[in-house]
Amino acid sequence: MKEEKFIRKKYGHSNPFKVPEGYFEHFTADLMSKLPEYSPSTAPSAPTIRLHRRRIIGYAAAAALCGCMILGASHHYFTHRTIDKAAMSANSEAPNTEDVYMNDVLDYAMVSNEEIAQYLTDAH
Amino acid sequence: MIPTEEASLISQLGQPQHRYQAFEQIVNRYSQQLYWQIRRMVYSHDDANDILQNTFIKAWTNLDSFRGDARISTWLYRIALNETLNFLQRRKETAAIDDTPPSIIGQLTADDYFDGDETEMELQQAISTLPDKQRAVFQLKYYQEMKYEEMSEVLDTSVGALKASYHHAVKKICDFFKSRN
Repeated sequence: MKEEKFIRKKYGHSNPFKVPEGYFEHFTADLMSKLPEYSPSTAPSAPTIRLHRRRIIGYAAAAALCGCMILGASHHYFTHRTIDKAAMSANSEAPNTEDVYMNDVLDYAMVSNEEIAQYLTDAH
Repeated sequence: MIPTEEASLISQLGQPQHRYQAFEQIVNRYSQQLYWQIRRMVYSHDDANDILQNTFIKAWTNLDSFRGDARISTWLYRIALNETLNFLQRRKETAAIDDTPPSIIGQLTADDYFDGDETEMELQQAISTLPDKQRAVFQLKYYQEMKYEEMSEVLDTSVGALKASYHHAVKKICDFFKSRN
């Protein structure tokens, strides 16, 4: 690059900055005396949660628990209600136990429905 | 590829009984080159000294985060440049509040530890017109002769972008000289 050559030729790499006498000779010792005691805990470990954020998380957990309880209760209620309805409708279609008993008695006595009707008519 | 000697230092950093001595060697080895990079960015010796100390203290307290997959120098340069750029940002914010922020010429003239002639003053003035990050790129390449690949790791920027940045920096500096003559 032409421009770079121009700068290098005209200005070179000279360092116009200076340091106080003995600066680099003493730097390492000065710095090492200032180092804090090493502890791995100074490095970030687990992310910390701020107090107000913890409270929000607590509220959210409580709300979620309440939601689950409500959902569970409503599921239980509606499921049982459906079962009861089904049972009721099933009962309406099934023969009455008293009728079943009467039919068995009549069969046993070998009396037909017509004979019973006749008997009831004569009784009047 | 990490040189054997450096690999040995990295290994010692992980051993509690050798950690302090290994870090002392690192400070001894890298303090000068880091200092000059920082100093060319902030100009003042006192500021450069503060930033250099903070760089090493940060490196020490965050030794756990150094995984040893990069060179020690790359890691230290990265911390040093972050510290320097943060310092320059804070200084700009303070200067925005002040009525008369100090000019680079005024700052260098008043500095006891600057003994450059007029030509060197002119070059520093030209470099000071660059944005901070571009100035860092220019100085790492021009003075430290750092390879673009290492610079890419230090500044977390692609090699292509760094080459373009350096090219523009050189052009801007030349334009600065042209505008003055």
